[in-house]
Amino acid sequence: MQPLITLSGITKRFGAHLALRDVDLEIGSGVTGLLGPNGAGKSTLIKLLLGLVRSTSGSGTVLGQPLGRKNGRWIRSRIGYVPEDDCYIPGLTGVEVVRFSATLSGMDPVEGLRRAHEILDFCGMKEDRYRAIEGYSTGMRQKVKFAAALVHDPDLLILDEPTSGLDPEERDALLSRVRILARRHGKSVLLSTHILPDVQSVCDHVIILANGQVRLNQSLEVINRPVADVISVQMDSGIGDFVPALKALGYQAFVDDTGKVGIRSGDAALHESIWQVARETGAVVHTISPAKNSLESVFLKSIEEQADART
Amino acid sequence: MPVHDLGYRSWGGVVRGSVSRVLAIAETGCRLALKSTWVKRILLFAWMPILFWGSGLYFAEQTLQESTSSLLERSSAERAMQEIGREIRGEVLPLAVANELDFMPGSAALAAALQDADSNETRRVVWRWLLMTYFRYPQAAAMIFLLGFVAPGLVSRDFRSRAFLLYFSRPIGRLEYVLGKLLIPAIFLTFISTLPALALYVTGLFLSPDLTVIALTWDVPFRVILATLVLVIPTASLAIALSSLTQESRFASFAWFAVWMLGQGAWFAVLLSQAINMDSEPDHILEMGGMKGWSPLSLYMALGEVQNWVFGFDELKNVWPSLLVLVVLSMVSLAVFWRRIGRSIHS
Repeated sequence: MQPLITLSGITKRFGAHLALRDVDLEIGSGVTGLLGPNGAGKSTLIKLLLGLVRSTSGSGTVLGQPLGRKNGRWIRSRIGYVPEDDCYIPGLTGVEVVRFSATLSGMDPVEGLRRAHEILDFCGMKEDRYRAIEGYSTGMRQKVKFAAALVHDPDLLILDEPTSGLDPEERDALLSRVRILARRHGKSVLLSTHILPDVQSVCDHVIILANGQVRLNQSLEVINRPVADVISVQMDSGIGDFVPALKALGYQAFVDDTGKVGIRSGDAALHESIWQVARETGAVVHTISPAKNSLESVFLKSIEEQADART
Repeated sequence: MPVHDLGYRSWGGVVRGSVSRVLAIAETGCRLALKSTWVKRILLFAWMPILFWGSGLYFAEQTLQESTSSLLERSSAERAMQEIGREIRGEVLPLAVANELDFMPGSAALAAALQDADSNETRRVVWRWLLMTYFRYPQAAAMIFLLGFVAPGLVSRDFRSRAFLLYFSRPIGRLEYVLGKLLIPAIFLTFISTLPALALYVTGLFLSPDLTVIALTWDVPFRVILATLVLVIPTASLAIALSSLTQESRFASFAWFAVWMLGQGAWFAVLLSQAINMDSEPDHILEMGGMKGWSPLSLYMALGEVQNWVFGFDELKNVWPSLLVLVVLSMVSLAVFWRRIGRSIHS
């Protein structure tokens, strides 16, 4: 199956600042999370995909069309974009904003109005759709932005921080809509966010961008898979003596960022050794389980690599 | 439970071309502008002068027809009216135009035409003169106020509310955005100038003795359209360019009025200095054409001069500096607007 987005050696420079450096990427269908700290190049990457900025070097395709201004219009006609910033036309009501987006996408005005109501229904926007958008809460504005991005029935949705500023209930509702669109209606979604639980909740695939470079491009399933040959031990007490004692027995033991003890070994007698060392050192073991990579640890690791690269 | 499906549904309708997107931008802009009570008031007032100019046309037609109809078919009272008509046309009006309206452009041609025995030629000149003055005086003033209220927010508001992403994440380009935005002042100006001017022309046709007048005055609607373009292109470009230079509509509004006031002030200062130097009245300087070369100083006067040429009351060799100023102003304004939009998209 042809990937939705392919980028090869994409570099984008704004004067002296290098926003993207030699990005090679393939994004398939489904929901892909785009993670990265501020200034990682996420917004530049999104603008590049929309054909709003031109890459300094490199090439790529979006929905099978080569990147660039020539195909920008076609690409944008098949993409729905929810920007991070509040962007609206003051004086228009919610339904007028969505209808306007529909007509900007080439819909007939009457059909656009009908479709705007249909999408606002889907987004859970009720009578408030007839109020001027300036008076909307953050949640309502997010709904209108989401509806405006969806009104022309795009193949690919690009959501830039769609849940920022939302309360938990609204956040769940929005993520649920993303899930429905992806699972039931075959839409592909690129979700750019800082909120890791959002990614964990809806994404199939994760891309971590840091310092303009792709640090990780992997499916969430692989990230969440147990780490081979590593056992994670959660201790209630005695961790200070427990780890050196294990090391003395020749095991690679370490304390991870979550405070658990990780032990790398293919030794079949490891479990027995753990209990023995615990008995000898007086440590209290809470649980023993296969070690898993958490999205958070993977993300933090990528950021650390970025910091290391800077220093 | 809702009576209709609130779930997501796919859409597979017809997608229209670029023109529809330009029209969508213009329609939304017009709708937003019309939410202002002041804009509605100005639009209403801008149509008022048509009554005065319509009366002038009616009066001119009555005079022309009274003075030229056959004596034999008339009663004595009608003959007396006819005599009065002839007197007004041949003596009173030319004298009044020559003495009282001498500061207005085309007044000499009008006075001469009124004395012309050929009423068709007189009609042509009178209609053109009425339309020229209509464009030059009330509608130019209405245009300044109308655009002062409509245009400043057109682009600055998009900057302030970051609406650019709403536009440019859609399948539209810079050209559609620019054309859509320019169309908004153009629609308003057409509404207050072209439509009433064409209505005035049609009124003239209804008042005239027969339809052969169409053959004599066929050029008038085209002149009206050309005059509209002269009015719309430089003013809309300037207003939009000013709007694109700031995020605050009030600054653009201030700059817009300042351009007109400073230009006219400078022109008036030159007129006064010439009057003082020549120890003469300002009206006399204008009559002598002493301010011809200074018209490009004021946008209002430059527009007026080109309108004179469009309606056939001046020659191109006399108005080319003003025409050049308007062309350069339009090009620079559009270039500024184009660049500002480009920066916003790509930043």
